Amino acid sequence: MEPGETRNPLTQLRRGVLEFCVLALLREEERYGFDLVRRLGDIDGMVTSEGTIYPLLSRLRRDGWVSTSWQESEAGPPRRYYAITPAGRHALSGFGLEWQRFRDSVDALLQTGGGRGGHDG
Amino acid sequence: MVDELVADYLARLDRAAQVLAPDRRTELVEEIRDHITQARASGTVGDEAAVRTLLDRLGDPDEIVAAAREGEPVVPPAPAGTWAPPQPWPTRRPSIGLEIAAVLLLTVGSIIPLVGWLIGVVLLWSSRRWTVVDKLMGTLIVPGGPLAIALLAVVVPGQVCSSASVTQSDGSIVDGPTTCTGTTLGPFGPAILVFWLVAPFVVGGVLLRRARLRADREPWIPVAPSSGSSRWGGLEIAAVLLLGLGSFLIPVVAPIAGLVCAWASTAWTSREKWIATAILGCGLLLPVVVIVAARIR
Repeated sequence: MEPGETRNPLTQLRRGVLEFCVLALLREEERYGFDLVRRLGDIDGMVTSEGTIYPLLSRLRRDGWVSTSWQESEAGPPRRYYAITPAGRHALSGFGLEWQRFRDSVDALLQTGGGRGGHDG
Repeated sequence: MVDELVADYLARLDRAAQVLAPDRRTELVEEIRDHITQARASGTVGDEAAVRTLLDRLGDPDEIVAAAREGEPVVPPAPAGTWAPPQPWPTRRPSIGLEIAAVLLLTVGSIIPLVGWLIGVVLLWSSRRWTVVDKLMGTLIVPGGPLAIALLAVVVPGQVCSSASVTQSDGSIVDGPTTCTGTTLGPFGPAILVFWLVAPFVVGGVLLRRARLRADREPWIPVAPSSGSSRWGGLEIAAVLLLGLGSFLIPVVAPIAGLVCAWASTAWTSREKWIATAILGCGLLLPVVVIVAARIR
């Protein structure tokens, strides 16, 4: 039994979370495409093909979560910079809240196996 | 050799991207081309091995195009159980409840001598939406609050002048020297009084406007989708019962216990808890003030 990459449930999970990781990287400062993609690519277990981040970036732009601008660079050709928009921040903070709940629940379940019943009030 | 590798890769990508809308296809190929250009311009990618690594990291052109197709506005209906695009989270505008409570206590709340105003000052300084200058302004104009001044004006008698009549030796009665007791604010007295009464309300208005402006610059607060009934546990019901009914049955003790429950709960924001505490503080101290005032009389 060897799960194929496309069948791997973690692939689905990564795909859902990736766009918020992009937004999180842009929270403090704007970044140009190559820098952004490299940072994501360097995170262990985040993306297997860096090229797939570009379609994601243009989707985020169409959704109005990031904006882009061309800026001259000291070395080489001009760069397309990505910046987070207010709508993107809004989406990110919403995700942060949900992610925390989700992560804590999964962690608790993985650690205790749901042995501790009930909920804290 | 290196350029050939890149050109070959981009050609494969361009072919694979034929399934995309023309503008999307151009955009995608441009972005990947830029990525390669940036990588090579950064100086880290020079030799053939480095370029091959770069292209490997970018991934298979078919995979990139597949990722681009996922975001297409028109997509075949996704099979059940797959990832759905995120819905915007419900959010609410950041409220300025704490600030409104502070300004109300600093102005109208000063009807409860000292205590109402003091709680207002505490709330004023606990808000993060006002600068130190704002807070100093709110505290110093006017200490005690406008209605404390009004109360003082009623309680402390103003200047009372009296003159004793003196019967002179010839039988005529003339007014003796006039003696005055009490305090006076001088000729500007009425103006100062009006300032004391009006300025705090003006300052309050300015403070509220600034708080609203700053709150609007904050990100909107996400509302947890499951908020509502699940927010309310036994602790919250106990808090409300103790604060409400409890104060009639066991005065002082029950409301304080209710307040402890409220602060222990996670269902309310600290802002909401502060407001409850402030209102309760006034409620608890009002009878004390009334009793003390009655004793003095």
